[in-house]
Amino acid sequence: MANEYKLQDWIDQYIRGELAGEALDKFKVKLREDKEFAKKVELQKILIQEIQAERKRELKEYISENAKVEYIQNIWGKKWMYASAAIITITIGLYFALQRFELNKQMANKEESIVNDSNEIVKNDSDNKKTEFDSLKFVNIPDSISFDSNELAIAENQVPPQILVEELDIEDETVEDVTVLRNLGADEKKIASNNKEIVEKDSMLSFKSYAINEIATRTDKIRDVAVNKDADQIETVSTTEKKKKRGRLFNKDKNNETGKGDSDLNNKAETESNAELFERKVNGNVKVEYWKSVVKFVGYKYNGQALMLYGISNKATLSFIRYNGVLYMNNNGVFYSIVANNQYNKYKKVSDTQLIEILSK
Amino acid sequence: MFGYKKFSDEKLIELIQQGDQNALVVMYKENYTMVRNFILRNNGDEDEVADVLQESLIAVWQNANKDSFTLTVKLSTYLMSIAKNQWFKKLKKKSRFIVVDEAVKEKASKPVEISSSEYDMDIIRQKVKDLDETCKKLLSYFYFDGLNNKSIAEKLGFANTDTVKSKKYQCFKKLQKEVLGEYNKEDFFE
Repeated sequence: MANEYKLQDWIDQYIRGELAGEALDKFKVKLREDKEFAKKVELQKILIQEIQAERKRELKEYISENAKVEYIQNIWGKKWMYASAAIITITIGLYFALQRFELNKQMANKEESIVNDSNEIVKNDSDNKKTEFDSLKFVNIPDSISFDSNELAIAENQVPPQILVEELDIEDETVEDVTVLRNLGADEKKIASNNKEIVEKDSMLSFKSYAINEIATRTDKIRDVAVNKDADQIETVSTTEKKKKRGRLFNKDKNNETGKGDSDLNNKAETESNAELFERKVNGNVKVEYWKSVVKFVGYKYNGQALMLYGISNKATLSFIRYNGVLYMNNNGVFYSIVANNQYNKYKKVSDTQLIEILSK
Repeated sequence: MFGYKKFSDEKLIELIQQGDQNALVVMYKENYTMVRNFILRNNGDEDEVADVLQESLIAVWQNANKDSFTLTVKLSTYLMSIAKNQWFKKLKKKSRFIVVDEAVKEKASKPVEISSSEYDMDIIRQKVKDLDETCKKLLSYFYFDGLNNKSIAEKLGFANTDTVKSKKYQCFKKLQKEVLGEYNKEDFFE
């Protein structure tokens, strides 16, 4: 057995090419001379070859099975992968660049159109242009105080005074907030209808006619009450104080006069405080126009017949009272004096409590 | 797809020497395209790429297990050189190109040495396949991988090199007996 063991090794060395020199010559001699030995060598060689072939087949099979799926991905190769990635990146970059370019172009066009619009001159041909209210005629309006509905609220010679925000307490649905007018100087001219460079105009929203309630006082009657307070009866006598038209609550003899007359005028305050002796009577009416100012002017203009209101909603509840020759406007319980100077005035609130009380009755 | 190259060349050689067959799979994936492009440019087709690459990898496997093996170039370069040789051998067999080199021509003109063996290869193949796992591994490590007895002892868990030698002798003897006992052509023609 030991010899066979050694023989096998000797043959292995020959097959693997590990023999050299004398050992190799010796092997070749034996191979040539010993037929049995030659058969053994041949068998061993065949078996070794087959063992190697079997091992090779196993490895090939293993590689085929495990690399089968993934080598498909490798077909493209790294170069193609990098090229594809680069192409995709460049495409995406170009897309976004084009988007930005288009956006900038649109923005530029938009700005250009805005500039053109702002520079556009609107020619105001007031001679030909008529509004629906031009045909309206105001009763007994002197020519000197006529006004044109196309005029701006702020005309060159009629600059309204500065409006202080705190004095205004007007509800206005058309004007968002009370604003302060610009103090127009001589160099800032928003010209009236003759100038053709008007950019914008005031606009009248609506108009309405209101009755004027006139409050008449009867101070002589009250004085009589004060003089004859001990009397059981109250006699009414006429008074020397002649006011405007007055009504009489208790009238027996108009022409009766007393000697007291004005001597008790110091009771006037007491007399006037008796509101129940004041009489309201409708006396005339006023045409109220609701206007919207391009410069957001808040105020009024009254020529004695027509009242232009700025900054007041046409839905506001208004009433008008004339007392002592002065017109007052009641806007939701707040009284404003209205001056008939045919000029643009700011709203002036009535602060006198006694007056408010009278106007409220 | 982008990062299946997980190992360095040194690591791959180490894995081969440890008998890890997955190293061959990794190398196959990494070098497939390169080998494919070469073969297709040199009168080859898609079917031959896998075969050439597998043969080349097996050659690397065998060489890497030799004690004298030292990698002085990139592993892909080494593999590519083997693949080129493999492909040229195949082309020679196919006679698709004219051999210019006289030495190669003379060698190629010699008839292929036909085995005069009296043994049936199919039987031998079957017997080799039927070997038990330990014998098959041992004989493969020795005759194919070219491992020394010490490495085989470590791989198979043998006590020492003498055990390896003894076991190898027994496995080979057993195989010889089975082949000789199964079929003999000489006996057939008797």
